[in-house]
Amino acid sequence: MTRKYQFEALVAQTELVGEAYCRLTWSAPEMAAEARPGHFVTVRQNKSGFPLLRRPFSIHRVLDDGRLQILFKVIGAGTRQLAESKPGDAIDVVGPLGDGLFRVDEKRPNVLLVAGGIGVAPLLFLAETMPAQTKLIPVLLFGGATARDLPALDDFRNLGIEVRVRTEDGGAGRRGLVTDELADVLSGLDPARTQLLACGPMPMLRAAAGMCAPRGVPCQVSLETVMACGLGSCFGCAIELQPDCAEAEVDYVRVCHEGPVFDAARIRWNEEP
Amino acid sequence: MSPLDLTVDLGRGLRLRNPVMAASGTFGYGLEYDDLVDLSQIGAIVVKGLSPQPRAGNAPPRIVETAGGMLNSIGLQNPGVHAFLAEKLPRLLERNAIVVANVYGEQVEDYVYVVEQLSGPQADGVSGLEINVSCPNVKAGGIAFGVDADLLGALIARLRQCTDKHLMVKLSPNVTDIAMLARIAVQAGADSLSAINTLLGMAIDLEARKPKLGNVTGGLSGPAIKPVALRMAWQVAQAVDVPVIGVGGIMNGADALEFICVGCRAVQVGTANFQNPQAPIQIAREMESWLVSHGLAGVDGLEGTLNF
Repeated sequence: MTRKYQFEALVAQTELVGEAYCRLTWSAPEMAAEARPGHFVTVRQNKSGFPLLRRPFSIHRVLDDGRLQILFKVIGAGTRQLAESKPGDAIDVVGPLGDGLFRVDEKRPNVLLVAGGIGVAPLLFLAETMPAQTKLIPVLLFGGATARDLPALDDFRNLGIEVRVRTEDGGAGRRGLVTDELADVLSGLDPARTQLLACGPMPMLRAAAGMCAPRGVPCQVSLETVMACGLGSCFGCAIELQPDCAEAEVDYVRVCHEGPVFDAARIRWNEEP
Repeated sequence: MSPLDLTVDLGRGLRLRNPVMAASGTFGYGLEYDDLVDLSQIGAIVVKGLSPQPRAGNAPPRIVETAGGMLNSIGLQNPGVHAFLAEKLPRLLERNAIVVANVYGEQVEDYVYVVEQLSGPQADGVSGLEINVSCPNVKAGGIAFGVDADLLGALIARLRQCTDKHLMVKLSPNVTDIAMLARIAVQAGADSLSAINTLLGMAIDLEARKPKLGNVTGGLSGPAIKPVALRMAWQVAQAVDVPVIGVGGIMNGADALEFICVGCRAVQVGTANFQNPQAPIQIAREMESWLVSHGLAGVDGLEGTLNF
């Protein structure tokens, strides 16, 4: 079990990534030492009372000297405030959180990292911590609405990772969805030597899970739901799993506690509403 | 060392370390906060509602943030009273926490069963029982008992016969006359009343024309409900002679003190715990500083001192 911390951390840096994304860095050596790919933190950015609830962010990177980084899309007033924070501003951070983390199977060399937009955030941490001496060959399949929705792309390239891009408007890479790219890639790989680790919108994850299951390719997905506590206490972030036994009608688990990373085969994927 | 003695005696064995409890459903079983919070410093921890058997809860989504508050429709997902007694309670007591158990049932016999389990030898460390007759998110039981005077009176009278422990009844705001229901609960044997539970609310996604919660409606909590909670806690305190515990949108020491001023003896904080796990401890400290700066020796000097 990971030791959790709550810190009043000082923002070390905010960096705009394109027009709509932001990287925020702070120093927290104890938290950094505990952090593993898949972990998240919750952030309360000020004491004004708005936003009311802490916001969860997956850990994007652990840098040398005990700095942690998150990457987020500026969507509403809360994320805008956070993006506008200045070095030295205090943020209240709790983490690292989540018991369900990414686990790389070293016996399956074809490691497909599948990201949809901001879902790329935890995958860079995963890519950067993948042991270099192994025979693993990571490939990033990255989809976004436009060329502006592919944050951190160059960081993967700088790691020497092959990146295959799709955008919905064709502004970068081939036109289409990342799951179109996944279908192409999967058809050329030996399923027994392939694994998939994904983060992105629910429909993308559901489609990816649906492609992996019939081929027997293990698929791990990092999920995001609205959370209140982030600590496993309120059961607000629950998702539905396939029940373990026939008697149980439903089995709800906490994304914040049993997740955020789940084996896709365990999730009861609902049809598109 | 605290300058003031902030302990609060609510009667029949329920003695709080300070006037601020963590409200049911917002602090789990306490242990989730073990790394972050010294559980022994909280007035008391009211654990998440317990039913006779494990409950799965409601279909997600279960949480939505709204202006100044949040809606939840968890549906009392819980591991059941036996798992609580076997797995959670011993660890909570090791941490020297003061424990109040929240009790939920779909029918009278469910409440009786849980109360009996929580009054047996295995539950020695449970200092009090909070009876949940006010959850707006479950289809059967719960709030049905909290909105009907006859059902409420019969339930509490029955539970009074099953336990010698402190019985706190958590009242629903989703009623026309909360003072009447408060009197009924006290006449039936309640030792204290907590007021209020969440207000029934709803949020929708206009573009999709769909409800935002899987359960369609949910319970509203947070700062948005504080004026309603304050009014109802005041009405309840006027109506009964037992201690009243104010609940609803308390985010800081001043909020908590307002509830004391209108007649409450203690408070519970809920949504504030989501914002900051240290909230119960911090709010108690803020109350203490205010009392010291106003020359008061404890909360009893402020209780029910509202001027008109």
